Amino acid sequence: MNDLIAARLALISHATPTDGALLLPLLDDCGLRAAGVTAFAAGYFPPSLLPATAWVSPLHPVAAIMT
Amino acid sequence: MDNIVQFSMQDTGRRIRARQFSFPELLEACLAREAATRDLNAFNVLYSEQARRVAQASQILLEQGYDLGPLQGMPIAIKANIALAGKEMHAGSRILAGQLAQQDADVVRRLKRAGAIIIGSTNMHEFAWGGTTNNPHYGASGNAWDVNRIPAGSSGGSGVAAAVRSALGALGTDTGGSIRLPAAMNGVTGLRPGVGRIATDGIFPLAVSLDTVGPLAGYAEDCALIYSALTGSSAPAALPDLGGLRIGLLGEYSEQVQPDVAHAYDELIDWFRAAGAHCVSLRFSGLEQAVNALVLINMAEPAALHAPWLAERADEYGEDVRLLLQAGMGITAVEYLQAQRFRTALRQQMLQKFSQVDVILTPTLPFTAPLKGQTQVRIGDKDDSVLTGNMRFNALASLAALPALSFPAGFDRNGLPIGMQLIGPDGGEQRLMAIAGRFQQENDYHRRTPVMVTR
Repeated sequence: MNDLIAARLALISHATPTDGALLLPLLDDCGLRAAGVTAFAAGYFPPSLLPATAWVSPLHPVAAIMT
Repeated sequence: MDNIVQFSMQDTGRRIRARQFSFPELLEACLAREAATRDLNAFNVLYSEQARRVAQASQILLEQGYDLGPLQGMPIAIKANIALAGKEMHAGSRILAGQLAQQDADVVRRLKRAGAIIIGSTNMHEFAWGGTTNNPHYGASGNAWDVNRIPAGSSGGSGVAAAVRSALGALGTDTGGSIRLPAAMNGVTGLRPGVGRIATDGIFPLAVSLDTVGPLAGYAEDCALIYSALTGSSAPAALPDLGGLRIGLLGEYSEQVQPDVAHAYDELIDWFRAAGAHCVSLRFSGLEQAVNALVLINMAEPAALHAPWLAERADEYGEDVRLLLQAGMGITAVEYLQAQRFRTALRQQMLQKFSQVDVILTPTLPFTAPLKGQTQVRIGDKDDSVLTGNMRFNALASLAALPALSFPAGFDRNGLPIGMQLIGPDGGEQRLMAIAGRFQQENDYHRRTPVMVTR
């Protein structure tokens, strides 16, 4: 078990009775998905160009927010 | 009289007003269809006696000249997470079992106001968190075209009821595809409205920033009628001329599908082209992250909602939903917000594309209905997970908060329905249904009936 999965499992166990063995495949999958999305977000929204409200609800007119 | 359920609601209403049959006869025909297909487990409960009283009252009103419009006397089913005053609303869970709704959901209030008859409450995936409608507490639903296959979900019972015509229309909810998936797998039309377009008051949530409620029905024009009643908007008076319609395609992204789905997609594009539409290939940045972002949001938001029950009543969930909710407790705030930022990026790109095209066309699903218990589907030389495959095309509109419609556009070699998805810009719901209605004017996939209902 890597450190990140162990950290997730600790978070979960703090909140709810948990069977870690059953959760491990899901947590591994979550980690991969989060890494992909995080890498994209870092590239797409360089911090220096990121308006403070860029992540807000997509119901807002995003194009207007960004310009 | 069994075949009186086959018509569109407009057509049904015309026939009733011409005294060919009555609202009570229509309701009995729907109830007979339900009885003939009970092994599909579309409904958790039927409100038969209440519905009969309303049908009789509707008939009396009509005969006295009180015409409430096209939804009057139409049997409509609602998903088990939608409140009907005085009735149990369990959202497919054991945790909420026995809890009676204090008042109608906003959508139910609007349906009643339009004269519709709420015929029953349909089976769903527990708490709407899943795409199979294999419910550990209320049983698995079967696909309308093959009981051994899944009807998709989470609004699986609503999709089945609309397909076998035990209701002329149904309400479902759609977070990551839960209306469009059962529409596609059961061969009916289903609309996911834009986020916020229809009030979700009185509906048990899944992921609040993604949740929507909308109609499923055989005919696109029936979805438009229900949508109009739910929003107060008007359906277009005439079906659109497709000459000059600009359709966006996603190129390789839409090609990772089963061969029969690819064939149906190509045929549909040819049909649109022959009708005068222009097809344009679109490119997006980061499309391969869409499912990942949807999964992260769809894990974190329900986990927050369910936190008190996860602490005290975790053993009352079915295993699949419990594990998903628990895993959601392990998503960090930063990961959740990065997924929301991805959403912003995707929506921004899609809004820009809608200055070049009127709609975007994709398959609804890469595959047709899998067998119950099947977790992987073979596509080309690769295995695709059913969960990820379910979300691939549905994630786009869900994340971008845009309207999307699934409509039947073919059958595979096993006789299973194939659905195609139209995504539109903000406020484009009626146009999507009108375009599908135009297709249905010349094609009959939506009118075909599963063999099992005629046995």
